[in-house]
Amino acid sequence: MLGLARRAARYLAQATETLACLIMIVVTALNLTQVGGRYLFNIGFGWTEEAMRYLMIWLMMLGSVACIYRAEHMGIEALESVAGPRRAPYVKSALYSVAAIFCVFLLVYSWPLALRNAGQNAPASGIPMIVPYIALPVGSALMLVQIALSWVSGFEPDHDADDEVGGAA
Amino acid sequence: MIWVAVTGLALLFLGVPVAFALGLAGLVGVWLADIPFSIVATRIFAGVDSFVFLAVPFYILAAEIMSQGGITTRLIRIAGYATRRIRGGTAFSNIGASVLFAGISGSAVADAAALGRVFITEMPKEGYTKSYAAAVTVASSIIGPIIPPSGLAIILAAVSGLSVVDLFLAGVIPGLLLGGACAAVVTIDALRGRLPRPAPVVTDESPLRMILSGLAVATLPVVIVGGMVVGAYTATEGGGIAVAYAIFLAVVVFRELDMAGLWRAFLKAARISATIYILVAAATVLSYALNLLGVASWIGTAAEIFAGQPVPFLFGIAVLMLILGTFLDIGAAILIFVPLLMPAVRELGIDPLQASMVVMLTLAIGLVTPPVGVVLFVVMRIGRIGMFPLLRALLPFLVAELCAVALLCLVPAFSTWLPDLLNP
Repeated sequence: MLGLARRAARYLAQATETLACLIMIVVTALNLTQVGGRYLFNIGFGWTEEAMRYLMIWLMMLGSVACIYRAEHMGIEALESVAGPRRAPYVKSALYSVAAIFCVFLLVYSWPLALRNAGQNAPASGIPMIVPYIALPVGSALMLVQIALSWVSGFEPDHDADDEVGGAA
Repeated sequence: MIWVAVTGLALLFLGVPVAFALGLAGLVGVWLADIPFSIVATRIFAGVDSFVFLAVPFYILAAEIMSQGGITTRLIRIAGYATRRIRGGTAFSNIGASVLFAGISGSAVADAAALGRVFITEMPKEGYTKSYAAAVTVASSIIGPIIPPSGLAIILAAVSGLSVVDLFLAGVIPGLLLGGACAAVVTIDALRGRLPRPAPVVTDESPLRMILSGLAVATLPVVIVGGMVVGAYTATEGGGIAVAYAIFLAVVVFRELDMAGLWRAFLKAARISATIYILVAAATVLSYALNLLGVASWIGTAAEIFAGQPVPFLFGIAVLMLILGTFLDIGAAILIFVPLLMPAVRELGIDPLQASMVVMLTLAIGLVTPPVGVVLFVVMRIGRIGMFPLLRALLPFLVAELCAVALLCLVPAFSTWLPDLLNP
């Protein structure tokens, strides 16, 4: 049972980060298509910008799920270092469980929002608006699962990633 | 209002991840303002659904590809070649490499991590103390988010309505000022004879080849910002071009990145982007709640006290941001406070670009000061060095960098001259 939960936690993180990575590749390709299309072929694609923005919403929600397991969401780690290596994962799980309150709110209030927008389409691309909006409830539900599993599975940072995080900073 | 701050700070210091701590504080604010919670989901969506902000992930990705593709070592080599004969040469080349690195990355943490691994191991071999090596790395790393391309400038542009190009251009001189401030400290130490000369570098690479590969890297920021200045592409499209160029250099020219490495770079950039996006989304909720609770009018009142005195007001902003920057994430601080400050800035007749640079520099200094200095922690971990020896060695550099901030507050032209010249 515990082994199953551990495997589930790892699979969930790997699946979400792989999807996020694929989205990153697609968004990069769309971006280059937009510039390339304008200069090389003299065509403007109105829909690429919208598609990129909506894909990034999915990337945000899916990537955030994996970043829980990878312990990559920025935060002050004083309490964990005080707790010592054996108890640190539980402290982290507890802190993420506080964070889970936010995910619960997001889940509860973004679901009706997604349904409310289901009938509309994006102006340039015609993408049904439920596609980007549904990322919020789906992502927050998966985050809740990942946080719950972390009590059993602990965390598994990417081995050299902790030295190179922090893009915008 | 007080409860929003108390909730946010308590959760933050407890160690709840920043994004969620800010989001929860925002929820408290929305509850206190008696607004239906359904607005939260709408705000989160609107907060990140922005074309300007879309530029951030691409610059993260480009820097990730560059640093995994052997670009860092080339930048260090070229900086080392330029300073190979003078006392304290390697300390200077550390600063020089930071300036060059700033041109490909918009991040102080990436800069400190990439350069720290090399310099904190190599400098002690020449006779520097380890804490001095770490201090130079830490102090010069904050040039990264100031010199374009800069993630902070993009976030700032997204919330303030200023143009990314102007903010990129405005960052060039302040970034060089920071480099100059660090170099001044090293110069004083070198003149007092406290710093060693560089050890002769043994390399089979010809200087010409080295300079060419350095130029190939240094072309990137010029192409990106140049293309934006002439209006050939937007900041976001420029980010895509930066990625393409980085892949071309790392895979084709230097041949140091295979498909697996490229996948890793995309994967890491995707995860980092997700954490920044969720942070921005949550900070949007908090910012919205603070507005509902009337914080803007408080700042308006404060601005009235400074009526007709723009320079003291700028110093006030600097002090506020230095304090906020010590514990608040830099992107979050910009998201929450810049929209509140900008009306007052305009009211007092201060150029918004000058105020933006003061905000960016002071918040960046917060990255290297305790209790929450991300760069400080990264370097402490890489160099296996304690906080207090590092802080002791860092102190003169911090003083010099604060002088640079003071110069920015006093002289608007440092921030506005280049944008006025190139992008009127």
